[in-house]
Amino acid sequence: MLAARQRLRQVERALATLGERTQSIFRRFRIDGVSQSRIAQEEGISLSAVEKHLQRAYRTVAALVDEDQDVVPTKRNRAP
Amino acid sequence: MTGTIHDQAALWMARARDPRFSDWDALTDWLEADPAHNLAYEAAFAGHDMAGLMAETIAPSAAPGQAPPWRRRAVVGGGLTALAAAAAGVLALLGPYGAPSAEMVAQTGPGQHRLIRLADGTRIALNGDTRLVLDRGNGRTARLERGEALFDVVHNETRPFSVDVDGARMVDLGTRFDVVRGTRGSEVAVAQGAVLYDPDGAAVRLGPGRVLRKADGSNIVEVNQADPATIGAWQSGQLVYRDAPLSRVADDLSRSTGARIVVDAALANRPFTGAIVLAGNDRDALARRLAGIVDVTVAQRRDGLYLKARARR
Repeated sequence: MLAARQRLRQVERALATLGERTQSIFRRFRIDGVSQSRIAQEEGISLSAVEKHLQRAYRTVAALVDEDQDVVPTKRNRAP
Repeated sequence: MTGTIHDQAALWMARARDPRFSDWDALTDWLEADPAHNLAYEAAFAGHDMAGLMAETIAPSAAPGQAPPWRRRAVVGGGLTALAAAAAGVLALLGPYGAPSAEMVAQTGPGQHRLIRLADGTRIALNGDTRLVLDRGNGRTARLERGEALFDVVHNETRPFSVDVDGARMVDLGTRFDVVRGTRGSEVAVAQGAVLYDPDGAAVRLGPGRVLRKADGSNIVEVNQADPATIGAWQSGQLVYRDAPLSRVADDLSRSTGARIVVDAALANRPFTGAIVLAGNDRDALARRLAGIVDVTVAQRRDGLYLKARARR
């Protein structure tokens, strides 16, 4: 389980750099499966603002994948 | 740096994972515009998978082969698209090994995708209607009994990963490769690295882009070349072909969509070159698409689609 725990910590650490609101919006979306329009209502912000929060979060976790070669072994043989 | 492409990929990921997303055509256009888009999207998708680990700490009791309720919800919410199913089917198969049963079966129904992670970091993506048996004891042996699986193997010189299909063995030499156990034969296609097919017999070494096909009941294997970037593209909802018989295309479509796609016998061997993007679960849309892309007449049937030659005037 160690590898999974490490990855989880990595995700949490990276998301923590994004601030409280982006984090909680991403959790609502990714983990709770709540739609963007409902998150917008809950948070009292526009749909495009929700989208921006999610974009930042996805950009951050995607970058994590690029960095961590063990997570996506397909990147191993690619030129830098 | 391709910063803007990664930003775009992140935005598409945020949009496409929303249960109300419907603009699959625009996403498809963007993905097809540049291979770099695909890579960036793949990374965003992997990030999406990885972030899913946060849920597993809440609901850790996912039994192999059975999705926990939150995932099932996610599938329904995602409109059962090929992409959504791929994300929703993430399944962490992490130790402890040595459980009572020596074999573990991972299965998908037609139209379902599932991603399996092994303890060593190896990832296996199962296409629809697939049955894969994993050895729990060593964690480095798999047997594909039916369907299609894409292997992203974390290479280990001393413990090579091997896959058995239809009695033939293939050994990973540091790899991403796709294996199909179809209705008429089997096939292995290498996207990266290399695979050694039948190490104790023919010992065919397959490099990137090599596709080996063996028809059932024949001892002859045939090796062709494909674009390595297209191998395993089904995982992101894309089926890419070069001179593939339409019967093969129909098999793949059936597996991926869950609809029964049948080709008229007169067309079964007609070669098809091109890409089919599976976007959404709308059978009418798929029928329209296929009619255009494959240049056939598509008839709707109760349980699927029937492809036949266009009437010529």
